[in-house]
Amino acid sequence: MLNAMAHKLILRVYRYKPDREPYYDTFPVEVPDTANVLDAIERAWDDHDRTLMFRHACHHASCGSCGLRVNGCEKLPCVTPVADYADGATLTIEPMRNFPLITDIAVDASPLFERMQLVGMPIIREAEPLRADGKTIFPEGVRDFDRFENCIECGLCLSACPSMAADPLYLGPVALAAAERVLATSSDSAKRSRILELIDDEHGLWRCHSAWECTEVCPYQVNPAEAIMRLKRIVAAEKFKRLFHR
Amino acid sequence: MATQHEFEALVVGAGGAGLMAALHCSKTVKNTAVISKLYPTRSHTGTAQGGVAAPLGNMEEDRWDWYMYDTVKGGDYLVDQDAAEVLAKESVDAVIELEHMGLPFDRTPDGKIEQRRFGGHTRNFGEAPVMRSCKAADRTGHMILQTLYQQCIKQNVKFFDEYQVIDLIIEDQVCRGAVAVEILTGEIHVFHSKATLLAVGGFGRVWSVTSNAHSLTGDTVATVLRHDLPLEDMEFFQFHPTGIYRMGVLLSEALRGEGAIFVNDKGERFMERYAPNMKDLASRDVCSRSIYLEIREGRGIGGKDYVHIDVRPETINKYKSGPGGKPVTAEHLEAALPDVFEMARIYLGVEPMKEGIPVQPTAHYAMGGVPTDLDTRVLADEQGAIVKGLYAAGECACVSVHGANRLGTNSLVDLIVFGRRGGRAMAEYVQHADLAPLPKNSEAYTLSELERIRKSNGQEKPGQIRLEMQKTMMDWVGVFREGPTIKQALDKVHELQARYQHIAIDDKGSKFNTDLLEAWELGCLLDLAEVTAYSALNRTESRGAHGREDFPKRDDVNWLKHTFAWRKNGVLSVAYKPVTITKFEPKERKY
Repeated sequence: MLNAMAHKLILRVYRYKPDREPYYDTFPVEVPDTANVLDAIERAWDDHDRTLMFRHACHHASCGSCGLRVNGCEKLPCVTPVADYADGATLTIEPMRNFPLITDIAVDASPLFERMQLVGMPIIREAEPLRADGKTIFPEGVRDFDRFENCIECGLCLSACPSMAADPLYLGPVALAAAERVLATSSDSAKRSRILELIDDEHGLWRCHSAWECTEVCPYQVNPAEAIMRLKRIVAAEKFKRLFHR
Repeated sequence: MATQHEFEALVVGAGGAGLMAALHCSKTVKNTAVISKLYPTRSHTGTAQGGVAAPLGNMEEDRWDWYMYDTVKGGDYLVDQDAAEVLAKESVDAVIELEHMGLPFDRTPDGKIEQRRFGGHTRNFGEAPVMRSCKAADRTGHMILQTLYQQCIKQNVKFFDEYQVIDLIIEDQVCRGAVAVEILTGEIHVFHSKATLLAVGGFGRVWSVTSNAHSLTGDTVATVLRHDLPLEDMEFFQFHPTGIYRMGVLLSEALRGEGAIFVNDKGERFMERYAPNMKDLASRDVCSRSIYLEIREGRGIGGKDYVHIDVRPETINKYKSGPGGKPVTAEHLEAALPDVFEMARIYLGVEPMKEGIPVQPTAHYAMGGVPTDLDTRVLADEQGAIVKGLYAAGECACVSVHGANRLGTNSLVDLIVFGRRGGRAMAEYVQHADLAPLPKNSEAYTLSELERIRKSNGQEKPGQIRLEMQKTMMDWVGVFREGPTIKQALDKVHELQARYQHIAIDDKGSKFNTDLLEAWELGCLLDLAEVTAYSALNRTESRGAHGREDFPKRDDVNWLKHTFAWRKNGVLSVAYKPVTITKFEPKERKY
């Protein structure tokens, strides 16, 4: 990997401007074979067409800005090696699905952030459970949630989700995984019932048909699909309880 | 036509410093807003891996004055010691505040915050490494950013995401707000405020090999300069020793905290020669220079311009370089450094458990920036005059706690300690300050800047100018520099600035026009490159990150002072301000 060779690609890039029909542009690019797909897109921008619009910031899978689809698969192009594709290959670069399109391959990510706000943005748990003596005790199993704290809000899971495509009002994987954290860690009953009401809805939990696409595309192994499975069990148990305590 | 907004307090930038400031300000000031060119949790704080220092003493004895000493020594005695004392003392409380907000720190078996070693952090004034860095695996910055953003939303801080600040409204040495462009629509917005805090981060994109995000272009730092205000200590820019070869993406210093060592082509642990006591945990400037010297002597791997960082457990155990000299296991290393290993695998195709990881120094952190006092108030000159209503904190500011070289973990400490002080200082100020009136046409400069670039139809390509600037700065104002080549770099930057007047952009539209905004950012980068080279040319000594080959020694007699550099009507000038020394007299720095 340390003696970089030139790697040629043809980028077939989705183009959209609000006042005209979408189309595809084709840009031949040459990058080192150690480069990532984002580098190739930057080359197309710099060498061919600086009106091409795309989001990017950190270039190493920390900021979650650059999510898109390469040959139909959801990817963070900053960590997708060009060497995954043959020299001379054509890559179709398209925006994420299930988000409003702004222009070209840049989408409006606000549906993701709005959904996170609906469930109270619990990426970080509310407080570390400190005892009076300054020591910490963790609720049983709280460590299982650490992976969720790694969520970088890239939106790939929403783009890949078939239920999301069928129902634009669906809460979607990331917010449901977040909701599961609240139910599993919070003892605040008002908050719990608000979350239960939110997810036990036709646009909530039951829209998930266990396609597991969200888990498949997640760059941080957050595994929203498994969280949703657990959530289904929690909600079923709650309903069962209520049935007998009427 | 510009849209007008009015806020009591305004924060520019939504990384750790900006969010901490906004959070603390909003506790008493209900009308607080944050403007950010990225969605807040996309900010560069999120990439900080290693940790945040605080002398909690959870693992072994630790004291704030040991920490202060390390910070002062790490900064090669250019640190203002009153600021270092604030940093060392307030770090404890700030970390505990984050813990109480819910930040998921790693824990010891009895539930305390777990701490690990980091370069330059020692016990008993340099005796041996100490475990001082509090961390959440190697994703500490991500957790800080998420925690603070969540708290800000709870406090109803108003956010303007993907708005880029082009100008500050400063008249009669009073800041009255900022002018921004809404990236999505291209609309201009005027933010009128009593107090404005800058927390816009660094400008590593001046150099070709950098760990810094695409967005780190120092926009508002250059804007301060354009208002005829000085920038402090710009010659001090940190090159981090463990950038991924050729890409510059950072591998955390936590690697070395866990025991990893540098190895040259001969398989030698060469840091033993340069820093006999601290070895691979010497400060970053020392490690980066040592790597360059090894490469220069032909001992780079395969004779090339990189060395290996070796994190294999058998290597760590052979040299007893793990924490406390104790043996480490592959399982422990995988758990402690998941992101670092992932990066080595993805970017280099290297298996860190089986082979060395190729690294080279990468432009990482601005020690210099907008000069401030201890309450983050922006200074108008070296005498201590204040720009009323203007504050700065975090990497874009220079208070100066980092002096000539920042210690690992001290960037996050700086963000939370001085972000918090900034938020509190603004809250205090707006209580009795009047809203200074806006000048007429406060958006005029912004409109004309953007129009000038949009309409410019010369032959020059912004991408080409950017590449030439980055290469020039990397080659001539990098880890090592000397008079004649710095002068060459300065001449080159002047040439590029002249060519920049004749650029043409392709995108003439207004919506989401990154072509336009990046061309504007390039102008900022060029101004900062110019001031950096100029400040470096003037300082005829070597200190911390500023390594002059023609003046290899530190010179405390003549140079124990901070550079203040101005650029008024294109003319550069400097003045100097003495370093504040309270507890620790400067002495030779040995690791």
